[in-house]
Amino acid sequence: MRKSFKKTILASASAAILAVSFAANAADKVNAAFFLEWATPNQIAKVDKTYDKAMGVPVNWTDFKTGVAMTEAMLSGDIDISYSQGLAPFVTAIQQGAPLKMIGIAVVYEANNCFVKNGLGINSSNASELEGKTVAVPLNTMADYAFRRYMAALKVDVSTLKIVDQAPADGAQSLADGLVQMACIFGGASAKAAGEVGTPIMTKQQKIDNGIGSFDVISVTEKFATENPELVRTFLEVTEESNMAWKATDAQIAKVAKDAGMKIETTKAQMADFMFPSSKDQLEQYFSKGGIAASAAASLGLVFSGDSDGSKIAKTLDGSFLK
Amino acid sequence: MADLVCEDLNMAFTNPQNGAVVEALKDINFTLKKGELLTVLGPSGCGKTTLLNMIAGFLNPTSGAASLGGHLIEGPGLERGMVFQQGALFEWLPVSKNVDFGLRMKNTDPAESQKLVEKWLDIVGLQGFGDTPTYQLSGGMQQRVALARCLVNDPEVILMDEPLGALDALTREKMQSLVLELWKETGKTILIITHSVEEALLLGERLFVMAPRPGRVHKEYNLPFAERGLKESLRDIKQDAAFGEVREEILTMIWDMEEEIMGRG
Amino acid sequence: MVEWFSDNRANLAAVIVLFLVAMLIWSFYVGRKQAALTAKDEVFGDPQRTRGGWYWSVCGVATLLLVWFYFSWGMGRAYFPNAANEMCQVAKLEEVVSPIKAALPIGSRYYKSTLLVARNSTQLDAVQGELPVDAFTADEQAELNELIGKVRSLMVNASDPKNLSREATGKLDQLVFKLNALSTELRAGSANLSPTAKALAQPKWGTTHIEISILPITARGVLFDNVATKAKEVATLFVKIRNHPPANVSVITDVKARISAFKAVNEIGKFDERKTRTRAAYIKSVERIFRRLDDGTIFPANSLDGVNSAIAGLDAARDHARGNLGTIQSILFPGQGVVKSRTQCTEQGSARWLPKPTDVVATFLRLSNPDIDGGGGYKGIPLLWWKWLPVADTVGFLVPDWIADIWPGEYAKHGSDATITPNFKDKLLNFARGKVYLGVIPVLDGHLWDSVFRVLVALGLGIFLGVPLGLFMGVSRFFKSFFDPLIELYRPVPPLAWAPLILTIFGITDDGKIFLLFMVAFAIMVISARTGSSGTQLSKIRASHSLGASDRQIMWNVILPNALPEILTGIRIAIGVCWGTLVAAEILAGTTGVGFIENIARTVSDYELIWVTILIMGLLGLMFDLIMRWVIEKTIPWRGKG
Repeated sequence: MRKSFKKTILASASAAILAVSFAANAADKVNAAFFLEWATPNQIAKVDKTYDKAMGVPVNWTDFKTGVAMTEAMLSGDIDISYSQGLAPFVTAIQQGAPLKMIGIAVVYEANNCFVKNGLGINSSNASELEGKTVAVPLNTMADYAFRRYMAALKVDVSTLKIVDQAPADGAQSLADGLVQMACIFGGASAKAAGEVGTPIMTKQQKIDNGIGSFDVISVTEKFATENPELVRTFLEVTEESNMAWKATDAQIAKVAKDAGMKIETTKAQMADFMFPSSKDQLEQYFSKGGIAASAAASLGLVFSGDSDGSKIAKTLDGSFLK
Repeated sequence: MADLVCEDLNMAFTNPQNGAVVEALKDINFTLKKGELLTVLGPSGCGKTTLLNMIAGFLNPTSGAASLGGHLIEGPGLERGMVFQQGALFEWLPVSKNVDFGLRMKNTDPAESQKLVEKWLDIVGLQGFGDTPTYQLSGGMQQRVALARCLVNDPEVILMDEPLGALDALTREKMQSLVLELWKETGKTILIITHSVEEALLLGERLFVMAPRPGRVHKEYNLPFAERGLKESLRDIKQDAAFGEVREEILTMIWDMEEEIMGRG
Repeated sequence: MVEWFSDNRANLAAVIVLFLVAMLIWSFYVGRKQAALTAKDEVFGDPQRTRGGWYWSVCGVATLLLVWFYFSWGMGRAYFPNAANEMCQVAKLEEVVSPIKAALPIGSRYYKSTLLVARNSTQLDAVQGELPVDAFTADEQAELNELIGKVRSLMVNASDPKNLSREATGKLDQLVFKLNALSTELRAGSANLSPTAKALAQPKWGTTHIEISILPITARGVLFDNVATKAKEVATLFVKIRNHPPANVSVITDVKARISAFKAVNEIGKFDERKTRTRAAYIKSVERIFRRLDDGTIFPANSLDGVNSAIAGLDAARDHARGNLGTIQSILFPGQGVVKSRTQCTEQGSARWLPKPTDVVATFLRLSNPDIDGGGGYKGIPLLWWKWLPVADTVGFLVPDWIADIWPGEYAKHGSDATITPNFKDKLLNFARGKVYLGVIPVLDGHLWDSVFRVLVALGLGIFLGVPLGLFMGVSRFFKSFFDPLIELYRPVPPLAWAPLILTIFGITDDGKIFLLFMVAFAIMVISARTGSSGTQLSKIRASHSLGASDRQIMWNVILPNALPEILTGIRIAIGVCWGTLVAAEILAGTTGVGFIENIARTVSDYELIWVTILIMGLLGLMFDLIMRWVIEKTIPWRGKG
């Protein structure tokens, strides 16, 4: 009795191990990650199952709240492709040694704003007056990255500021209450709230002049990319096609808005700020040697952990699937 | 003349559920002269504890009045000391702090208090136990502390609510002697509620047998046993024929009352 | 000193593990012996039986630490400090041959070609079945079916071994030869190899933020590294091999032409918009499959058998060359071993998220180093240290500014010679704002202190306000009925639900966080004090009345001490819950605190730091609980004996 029980345990345990090791290789479905409330043209392809048809395997889409969570899911093997992961969580993941690669650029958008409380009389021309003031920043996010780039561009010594780690909604509230003198914000609703009582420290044009921008990436586990290169290629191809087919017609926007779980108006406003670079542009501008992707990732790495070895991050950028 | 006088004491409770009025006590009249020892006996529900609580000042009568030495009783007071069945000691305080509780409450000079505490601990037979935590004492010793705590305030009347009910037979007998000794030495007026017929006979100079519904004094006795108890052994008195006679009479009386309650219930 | 500990953490761990094993065995032995001694006179379920038995605590702690050491690979690193580096070299080989393996049964059960044929056939069938009959004429439909048939024939041609070009065969043979050469090299062993000086100069395993050094530091590692470098070329060759059967050349040209023709017809614009779109989409779907089939990635099934067995041979040679490393790995390194990603080698399995105990201590030591410039502390603030606090700051905080405003007179103005002479009103304002020098006092500082301070202040306020209210609620009908709805309504609300309000009411300084913790502590203290006071025996209160105590004296001398056991238990629970709420409280507006560190560490997935904060909170909670247990033991010895 006892012996057979032991045997059963052993047998089922080894069966479980086998199942795990084989499941890892069989690409009979693809697990993709995306963000809700982050409208992109490829959501039409997602809804129409164009991905599934083109790749010949079902694609499961799971929505995530943060890019860090996407990394965790990719590390645990639950997700193969992350669409529109933030650059910040991607770079942090690479610095922690995660086996991921950046295979494409999902969305390019204006860098997150830092709003200075109205009435302080501080703008980009006298930004040094910020020294000694309190700033709300969601640490280790793209807004944090933008904040540090602004301060560097405006020659403000960050160590003299009192930095408070606050989620965007809280930061906007603190700015309105006058508890902080500047708040760096991402996300539509919070940015709108902060815009009511504050003014961005840099205009759109100043950001472009200083080369401060943001983009979300398409990342994939190295394992998946090695074993299923043709699926990765088709994924990017379908994405490219839906970007090209994007005419922002009412029907298209309605479809995307429904999938993103947003109102039509909000979707319109959000997508007006978005740019979806073509594969050609991505290859030429982002994935070329010393291109935008590599330099942004390197400076992000420098900002967050003082690790200036950008060459390392550059190695994880792979534009070959875009060809 | 610090006599305890009860005049037409009435106590009625209203049952909150059905609004029925229960007469816990009806027309209680008696006078307890200074230095008398009264025991009150009765079946459960006869109102003996209500009577005690009223004299102690915890309850106000529906009508009538109780007074001590001509002063109307309107609330608890130091002149009427209480001893409870379980002692009701403060277990977070050592023996001496329990005993001088009343003195501390009226800010008596500590040196004077200590003298009094030592004196009374000596009298109740607890010399040297001043610093012992009360939760380490036996039941009999706890009652001795309770007695000392009451007596140290020099009350005019001592009210005891089944003080020896929770003790074993031997300890009980010792404590009964102690009560008699204290009664003799201090000359205090003492009122003891008990459910033990033997105890009531042994200790009571006067004895009330109470009856329920409405609570009233059914019969009153004047007994010689307490006086004798000061000189003779209590065990001898219990063997006495006269003692046995009264005991049987009262037992029958209470038995009948219980029967009546059961029958009516 | 710290440096030395940091560098020798593997050796230290080896000693610690040995010590723990000794402790485990010893305590188990003592425990069994004690149990045998006392077994006869004990009854199961007797609470007295749980007293003592510290040796079982030793046993439990040792077990816990050993499990931690084992699953974090701390034990493996302690005794085989080079193992990870060697595993990394093996992983390099695995990484470079993975593209070959992925196409072969050895890596994924089926040939990649088989999977592609299956998948593309299914898709072609689906496309054929979905042919939109209303968008194409009958002739066109026939042509499309023919077109799909031609696309299908591409797979047929590619799968026929007869069609395999000599060029491809030659390349495959060459590949097998190269792979076998690699196997031979692996089997030859590492006798003549030695690591480079540069490799040996790398930091030890886990001592820097690069977990595992990448260059080989042992001869065996060098062997694998060399083979991996060569295997990479082989893999590149393999990926480039294409099967283009001659028969397919004409088919490809034909299909291309036909597709272009269809597209051209579409572009003339003779169909309505809907039809055009349907046609374009359909042709696109056919073209998409065609484009996947024209690149020559499908091979006849048996043509790759040679490569498959060569890879199997390479695997066998790998296992041979790995020697005892394989055994060590399967015993001491639970999980999926070391994986080489593009730029670095990382631990996989439990070691990925469970840092080694010695590394956690090292991180803790780094955090507790008060020398901020020397890399200590976190985000510019030490863990626990002290600083000079100007007394004027406190004065400025306590004295309101309007005192200066209401002082008669006006503030100074600058004179015509551009000088300013401050008058008394100005000086008063400076005083109220704390802009004077009144000396300095040393105060505690740092993340840890800030958290403890918040918890203690909140707890203190909770006790100070909650206990009296609870006591009165236990004895007074007015207090009970008046405050009951209030307390009972707010008590079940989770603390985090208050967060949005607290931010706007209290702002970003400490008071908001303290208030959040206070809310938690207050409810617990009220409830426990109330339970304690309402549980006072009536006879005790009556006795004290008879002893001449006033209501206030009874409250202070009878009801309070009587409720003390419940109150102290309440404090003990409140401390625990406060620590639990701290992380939530410090999320509000993070500037300092243990919860703040954890919140930031989470955003960068720094598991070492996360574990340090978890352990700090656990240990502090335990410390407070031990203090409370001691206090309870000392202050209410009568509990359970009354």
